[in-house]
Amino acid sequence: MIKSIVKTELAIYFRNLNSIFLPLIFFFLILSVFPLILGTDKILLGKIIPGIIWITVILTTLLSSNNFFRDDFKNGVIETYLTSDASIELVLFFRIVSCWVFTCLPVIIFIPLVSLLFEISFQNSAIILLTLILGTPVLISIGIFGSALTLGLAKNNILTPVIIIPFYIPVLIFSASAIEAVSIGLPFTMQIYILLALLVLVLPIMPYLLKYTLELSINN
Amino acid sequence: MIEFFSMGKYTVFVYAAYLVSIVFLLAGYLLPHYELKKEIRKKEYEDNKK
Amino acid sequence: MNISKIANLRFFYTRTESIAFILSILSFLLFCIGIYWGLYIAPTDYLQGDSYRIMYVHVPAAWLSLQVYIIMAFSGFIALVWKIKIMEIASIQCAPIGAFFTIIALITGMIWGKPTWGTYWVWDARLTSELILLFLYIGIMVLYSAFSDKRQAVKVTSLLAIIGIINIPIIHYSVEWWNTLHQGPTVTKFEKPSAHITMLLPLLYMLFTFNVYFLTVFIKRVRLGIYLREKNSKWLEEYLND
Repeated sequence: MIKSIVKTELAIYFRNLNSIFLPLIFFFLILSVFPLILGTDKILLGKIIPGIIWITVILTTLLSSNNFFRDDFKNGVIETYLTSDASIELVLFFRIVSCWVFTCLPVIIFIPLVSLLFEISFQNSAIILLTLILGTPVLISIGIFGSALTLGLAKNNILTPVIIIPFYIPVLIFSASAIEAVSIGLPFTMQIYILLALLVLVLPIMPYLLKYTLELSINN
Repeated sequence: MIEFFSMGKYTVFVYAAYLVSIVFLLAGYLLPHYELKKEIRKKEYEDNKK
Repeated sequence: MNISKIANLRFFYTRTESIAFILSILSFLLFCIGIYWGLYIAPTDYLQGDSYRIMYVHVPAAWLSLQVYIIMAFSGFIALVWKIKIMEIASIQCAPIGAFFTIIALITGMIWGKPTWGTYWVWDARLTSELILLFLYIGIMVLYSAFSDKRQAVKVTSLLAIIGIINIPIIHYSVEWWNTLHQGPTVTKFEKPSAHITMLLPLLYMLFTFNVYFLTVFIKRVRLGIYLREKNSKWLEEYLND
């Protein structure tokens, strides 16, 4: 059962190879724009580069998870979700995971390269990597929730990010605090625990919440 | 009356704050009030047109 | 069951016309008394001079912005679970009221900040979470207006309001914790003074006044909402033609 779901997901993503590389390219594009705008002052860039990486990751996850349910809604897949006997929450969970794997994992893999480009110290890049690994699944889940809320809206281009970004803020604050703590030398374990707690709370609940939201949105 | 303005250097701030809140509070009340009247008038107009 | 649900709306609309008017006069009078009390009768503060008087509009507005959000989420919850029509209307009509309160709180907070801290804005826990609260309200209103089927819209915005209520304390405490980390043990943010009763009493009175005002505007908005929804129903036409 799980194998078939995974196979379907892989098939969907590999059918359109663009969807794999586009988030990564977008990430690097925005990342490159920042030094162009802010100037090449290495000290300034060194201070704000964790923030820049996180802002870019937010934009990437927002834009990738925005249209998660759009095609499904058009093709009537959602009705089959809701009327089937199978455990739809499991399918949704694997869909969330696959979305993360294909949009955030490439970005995370390329973070060492980014730390080379911007001359980030080893500890800083390690903590950036850790907070990204813990934080991006939560961001993706919340983004997919936003997509479920605005299901069926014709022109929801910038509406969904406006609704969703306030829910990103706790993850942001704790990640930024952890990164700053490491760069100063203070202990950072509490922030990591909180990020872990957010991950463990949000990720399992999200499939159930998504199913409820889809039922709400589809009921016409 | 003049003692109202004897708040030292804070007069402008205090009165500006109170003015802003009064403006918004009034607006919050008048908006639904006139919106309802407008809707009733619009419906009467449409009913009379028929 | 169907009849009682519609009767709910009709009962509310027909009975509250005079109540709304009386309440509006009442809240106007209460405000006049409150403003005179706050500006004139309450004594000048030893530390802060007269600028603390802004507290008499800022604190009730901020308090009510949170209270209205809780009411909005709570009525949204009832609307989702029990599908009671008047709760649907009440939930979405709370949003503009709450947004106005939040705007008042933010602007008066900024005006208060300038003489007290020297700057218009500081990213501390309270102001930042108030700003995020404004964004939550705006998000709910925008989401509602994006749907053409308004019954569908209410369901979705109720869900958003309920999820948002979890978000507010998380943001507040995370920003507060973040700031105490920055500033260390010497906290320089403004603390509410251990105030004398002559200064506290007008504050409680203004809190009460703002609540009466909220009740007035709430009734007005729910009547507007009922009218918009039941425009073409028979009981409304009969009632309006008397």
